[in-house]
Amino acid sequence: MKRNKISNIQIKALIITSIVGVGVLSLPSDVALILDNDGWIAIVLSGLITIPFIVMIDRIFKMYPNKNFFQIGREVLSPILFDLFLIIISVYVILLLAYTTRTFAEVIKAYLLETTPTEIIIITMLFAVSYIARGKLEDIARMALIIYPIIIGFIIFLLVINLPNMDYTHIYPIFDIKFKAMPKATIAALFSYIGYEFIILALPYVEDNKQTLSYSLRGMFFIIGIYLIIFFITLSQYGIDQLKREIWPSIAVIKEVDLPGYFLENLDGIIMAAWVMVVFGTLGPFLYSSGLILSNLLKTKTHSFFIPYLLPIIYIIGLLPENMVQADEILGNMVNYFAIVSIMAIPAIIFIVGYIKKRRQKV
Amino acid sequence: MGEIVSKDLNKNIETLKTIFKDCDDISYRFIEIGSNHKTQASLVFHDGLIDKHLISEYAIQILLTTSDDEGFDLTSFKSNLLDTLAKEAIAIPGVEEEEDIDKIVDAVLSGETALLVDRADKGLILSSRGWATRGIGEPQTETVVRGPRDGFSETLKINATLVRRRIRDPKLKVKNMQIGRRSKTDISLMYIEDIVDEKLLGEVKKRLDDIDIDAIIDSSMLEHLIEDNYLSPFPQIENTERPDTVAASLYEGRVAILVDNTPFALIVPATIGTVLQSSEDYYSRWTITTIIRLLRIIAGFLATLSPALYIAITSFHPGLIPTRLTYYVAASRINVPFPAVVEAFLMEITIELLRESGTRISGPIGTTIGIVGGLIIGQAAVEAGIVSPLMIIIVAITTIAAFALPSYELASGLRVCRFIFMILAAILGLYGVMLGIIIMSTHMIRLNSFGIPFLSPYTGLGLEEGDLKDTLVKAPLQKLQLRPTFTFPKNKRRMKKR
Amino acid sequence: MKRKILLILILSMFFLSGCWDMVEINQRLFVSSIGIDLNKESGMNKYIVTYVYPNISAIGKNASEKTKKFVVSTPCSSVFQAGKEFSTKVEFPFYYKHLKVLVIGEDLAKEDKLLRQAIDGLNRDTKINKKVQVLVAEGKAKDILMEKPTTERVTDGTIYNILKDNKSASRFTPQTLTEVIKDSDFCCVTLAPRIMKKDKEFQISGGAILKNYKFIGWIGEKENRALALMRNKVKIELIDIPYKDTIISYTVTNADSNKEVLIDDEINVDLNVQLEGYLQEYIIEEGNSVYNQKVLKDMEKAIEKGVKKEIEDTIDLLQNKYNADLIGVGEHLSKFNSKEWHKIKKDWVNIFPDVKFNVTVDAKIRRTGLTK
Repeated sequence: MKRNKISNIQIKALIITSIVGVGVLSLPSDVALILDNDGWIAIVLSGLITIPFIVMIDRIFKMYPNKNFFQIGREVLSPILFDLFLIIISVYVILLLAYTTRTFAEVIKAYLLETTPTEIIIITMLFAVSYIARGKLEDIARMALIIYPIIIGFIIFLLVINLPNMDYTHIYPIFDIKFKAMPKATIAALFSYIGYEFIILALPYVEDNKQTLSYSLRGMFFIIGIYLIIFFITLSQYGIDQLKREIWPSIAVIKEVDLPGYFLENLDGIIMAAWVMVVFGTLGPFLYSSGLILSNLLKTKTHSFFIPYLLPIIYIIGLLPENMVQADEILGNMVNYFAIVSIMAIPAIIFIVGYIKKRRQKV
Repeated sequence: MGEIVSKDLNKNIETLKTIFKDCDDISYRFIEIGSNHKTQASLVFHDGLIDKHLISEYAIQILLTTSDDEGFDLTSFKSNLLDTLAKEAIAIPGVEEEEDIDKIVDAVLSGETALLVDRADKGLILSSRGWATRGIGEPQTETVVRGPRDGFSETLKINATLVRRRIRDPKLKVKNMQIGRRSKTDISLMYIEDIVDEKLLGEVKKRLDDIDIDAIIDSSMLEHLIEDNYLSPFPQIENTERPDTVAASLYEGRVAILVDNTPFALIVPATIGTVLQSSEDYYSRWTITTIIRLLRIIAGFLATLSPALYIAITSFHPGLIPTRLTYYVAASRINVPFPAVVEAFLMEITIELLRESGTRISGPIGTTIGIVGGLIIGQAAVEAGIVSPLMIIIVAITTIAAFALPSYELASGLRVCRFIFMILAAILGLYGVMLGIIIMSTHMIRLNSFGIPFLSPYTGLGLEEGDLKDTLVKAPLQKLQLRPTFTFPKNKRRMKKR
Repeated sequence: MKRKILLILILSMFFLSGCWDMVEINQRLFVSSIGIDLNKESGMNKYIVTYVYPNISAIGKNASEKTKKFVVSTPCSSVFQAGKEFSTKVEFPFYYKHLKVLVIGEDLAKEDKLLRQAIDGLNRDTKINKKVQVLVAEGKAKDILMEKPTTERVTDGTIYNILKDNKSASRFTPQTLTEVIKDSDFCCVTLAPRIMKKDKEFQISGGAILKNYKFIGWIGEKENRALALMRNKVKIELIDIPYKDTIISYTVTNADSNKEVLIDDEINVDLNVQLEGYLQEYIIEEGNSVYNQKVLKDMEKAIEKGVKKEIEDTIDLLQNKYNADLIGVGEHLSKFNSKEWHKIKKDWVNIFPDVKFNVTVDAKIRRTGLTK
């Protein structure tokens, strides 16, 4: 690995840490609600949908080597249009941050701190995260590599403690597919996959960009694997009806296990501890990227300048919804729509326009 | 360029005497040399710093006696008088001509003897350093069961020799320089030329050159001046008392900085992997070393987190521990009048006091303090019901774990963090502890040591190249064919491929 | 300067208001069991809720008090309301994360709406451990929790330990809160162990059938064992079977049951139970050896016959008396033949009594102990 570069394994870790966040908590019950036992198909499908976009992002940087996203965007599109795109993306990132912190605070309140005000939880988390967000891109990449083993450990831990008392038969019926509900479920599951777009900022700094695509895709498949494991664990632990009832089945499932010898009884503490780190791994890159996008939009030198000013905005938006249901329905849906535009449409547009321009140059 | 040696001896002595005004530790010895003892000469030296035997036997004696018997006529060799003296008379290994008075002053102050001869426009510097030294003793802080027992002492020359003995390679470079406007402390920069990364070496040199301070008392001061983030509680430069550690680090492509008057050498860059290593790791078998390395990581966590977790669990989340343990903890605290956080602070401060008083006082009194503090206060506090017995266990574990870390500096850094974690745990429980971990790990992630990420190889540098084989675990020596990559060594392979 | 002000603001925020959730461990009361009974008086307070919590002073090396546990009881409108009611009587707040046992009074179990409310409350709450053991009391839950068994040494409470440590016994089948909900989701029926008072002790045996969260009847130990065999919940069990003129004891070390459901015009269930175990007790007589294939085969036959009868009797009871699909036929269908299940799901209550069961038992005696 070279100095001040990002290695491919860090890219893989970045993809994983920035995707796995709050989405995974409700994912099993979200898809089960629409597709029952076949929710896993939606998980796989929406995971596969992201792959072309990852390939496109990778292609963009191969077409314009040694340039970063902002330079390419300004070159390919007209600067004004690109600035508009940047505004959309930054709104999306801020909404996403607000939604994530709000959900995070709600979960912390439910499992650890009952009477502590939501405001305090959000403020403290945002402050803690802003420290990494003010760092450089390499710092973010290094952070990802620290969080990555935590995610792996989290999954292995979940698997190991759940295996002895799972009822596998709850997985059945396995191929009772409701085709009509499939698009809706896929879109619902797609929310759990947003975050991969962070590589759009990281890719130009990769030391060996030949391997990058395969590492990114491996990261993506790893996430599909994680989601499937969590879906099947929760399904076989709860059965379909109880799974639909749970708001955050991925964490609640820990309350169902019984360790032999019960040294540690209520394991939710351990899981919560790991999960705080996982959310840190999501918030860090996003807060960084929001600062970076704004600094590019307003042409300032450093991105860290914006981060202190972003915190109150995120805080206020995060506290706007009156309750969890509203946060999910309004904020969550807004994030979803913005996500589709900013992480799918915009890269695709840049890719297509760039591709056509390159073609013309050759001719 | 200061004043130049003049041809008049008396004038020179006057100059020196003005410079050394009220420096009663400087001695002047006038002798008359040459045929008929006509030529005036003077030796200027510091009483305690020179090897008196050497000067009297091989300089004064010879100068006084040999001149006439062997037709040694100074008057006839006026043009290169000093050269003749140096070449034909003085039987001391190091002799140098010097014409700058300031340099002569420096030389005298560092233990050389200056020979000034009348009618010569230069002085001779006789290397005569030979003050009382402590000798090579066993390192006090890094003892090993198996492995060499020699440690650095306060003399730079001896220290450099100890390293040189382990690297008989002309590629081992020893660059001497002086830092400190007044102290003029000698510093040796050691590196192996064809392994070390130029960028690293350049950076070290640059930072050393940038130092502008009047005195360097100990290598730790130098460390604080050249490290990347001086506000951090964590060490970014490794220090050691062991020449074998320095030699091994040089072979890894690192740079060692030896400072005069201190037995602690500095090694850069340092990463979490290197500060968690002890030299004995390489002398023991790989299995036990692997276990011990994992144990050290656990010790690091225990030393930092255990009181905070105690507070978080007892005051916020008793649901996280098994029912029976919960009841037991509750029962053990039933009469404790303080909240867990006060209890924890009370005991942690007590133990820090004990440690501090024990460190400053050694020998039998230190032992007494240990017994009184550890046994009597602990026992009495529990009996009196001020603290719970569990708290005593937690404090003991914390302290022992901190001592299990090979790096004292790292342990001290973690000790500071421990109190911050305790405050966070008292405000926000387990979530507070996690916030602390986020902030601490962010700090460590952003920390660099001479451009090398402090958390390497866990954060990526050298991860794919297999640096984990010698940081997280210790693979058998046969498997460590390559040098660690975090230093970007020019020569990568240390063992022939099998 | 700005930074300093910000820092001071943040710090003051913590120190002025901080430590919202801090309650010292010795200033909490750890509810270990909850009993819920029906309050027959009209009004808001439909439940009588009983909390049991250990006396912390009686635990540990320097235990200063003798009373092991405290029991408080009050009429109230919900399980958690009770905690607030008690706060006028007890010194510290209650803490629910160590709740282990939930005892439901028989009267309450008969009121399905109230039971549903209580269970939803517990399932919804973030603090309650979802592995809480659910029992149904014969009589009043309060009376059972009030009982102070003479053998109570362990701090978790006797009921919990009986359930936990005798997991292998099939005289009752421990049931957790989630399992109750899960079973009810699948086929509306669940079985919770029965707890009853006997002199000054209490005893857990058999089970209560809850159909749509409504108590419909008890089953005894034998039926429970047969059910456990069918539902694959037996780990180790001793079965006594008449053989020739004596009774032999057969220890089951491994039991496995398979269901197969065939649907043509009527529903056929092939139930195959495989038992593995060893001979525990026969009779000591000269020249009477069991170390012989023929004798063992004979014994196996006897065991098969006995177990089969037990199972068939139980099925009969469930089909005709209670109409409760505790065997899990509906669940099995929903999982492995969901198309058919969707058709008959609504009518399952009427179909279940007519399901044909075809029970086969396959017992193996693997060892005969130390003697021939």
